Amino acid sequence: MSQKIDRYVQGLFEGVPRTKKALELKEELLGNMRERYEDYLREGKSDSEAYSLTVASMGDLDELIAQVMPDEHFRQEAQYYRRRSARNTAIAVATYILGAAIVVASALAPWEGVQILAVVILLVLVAGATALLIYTEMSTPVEYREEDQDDRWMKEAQRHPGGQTVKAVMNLYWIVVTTVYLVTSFLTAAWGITWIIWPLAGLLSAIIRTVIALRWQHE
Amino acid sequence: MSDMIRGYTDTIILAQLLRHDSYGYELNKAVAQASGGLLELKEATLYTTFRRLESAGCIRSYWGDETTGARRRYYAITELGRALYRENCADWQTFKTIIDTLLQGEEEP
Repeated sequence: MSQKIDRYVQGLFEGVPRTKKALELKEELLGNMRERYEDYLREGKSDSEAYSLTVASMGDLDELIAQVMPDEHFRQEAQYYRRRSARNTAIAVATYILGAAIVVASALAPWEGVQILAVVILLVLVAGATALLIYTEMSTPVEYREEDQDDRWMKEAQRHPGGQTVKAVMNLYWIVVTTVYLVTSFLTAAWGITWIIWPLAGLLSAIIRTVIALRWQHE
Repeated sequence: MSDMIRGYTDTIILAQLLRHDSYGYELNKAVAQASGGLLELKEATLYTTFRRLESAGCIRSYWGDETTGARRRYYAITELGRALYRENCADWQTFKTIIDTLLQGEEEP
């Protein structure tokens, strides 16, 4: 369907920093191109004909895209947000570790009350650190955020046609492993030993991934 | 012919927006239909013009609230845009009269 159009527009903006202007231009283009493409289909044009006509109608977009390239101000802002994000992430991670360390240390204390207090402190620290992470992410304007997972994943999928298949296969694989684990555990009641399924399953999944990757390289 | 039209892209777009607010594809389709399919603006030209007119304050843009699919960016004409339109139309009338007169050739007997 119009996925080809999406990919074409995506390609035009490859390497263009995600400034607000660039994202808006991309969204505007995408909407209009899709509509044009669908109109061609409605007129009875074939899939590839509609695609060629739509692409041809765009003309030379280089100049337009050059206009939305970032300026010095954008680069400085981006650097500020990147540093802030790195600093806050480091603080949050250090806080998590500190919380865990307090709990471990409290195990050495002779009174039980200290351990409960340590867990309470841990929870407070975790809440604070998590709030910091969420705040940092939410308060960073979208154009300065790291590329989101979807985009990165889409690029990955383009590079390795079939990446989606692997993802689907691995999802299914882990469901099967979980089922096998639960069924064997309940049937044998040997919970003490059935955990061995997990490391084995992890090993097997690595092997499957490698085999699939090698096969692609051959193709 | 496209060279001659290029100078009037701004005015053509302003004329469309004078009727009602519109977005890229719809506006281009209207232009194509009104010209009997003779004139269709390239997307690149269209968006470059939109951006130039917007930064000049002749049009403004806003996002539609489409519930399905991509959002549309609508453009509306401003007072400044109306003034530019009237000015360009007056220029065109003068230009047309001059060229009409100049091109009236008759072979002398």
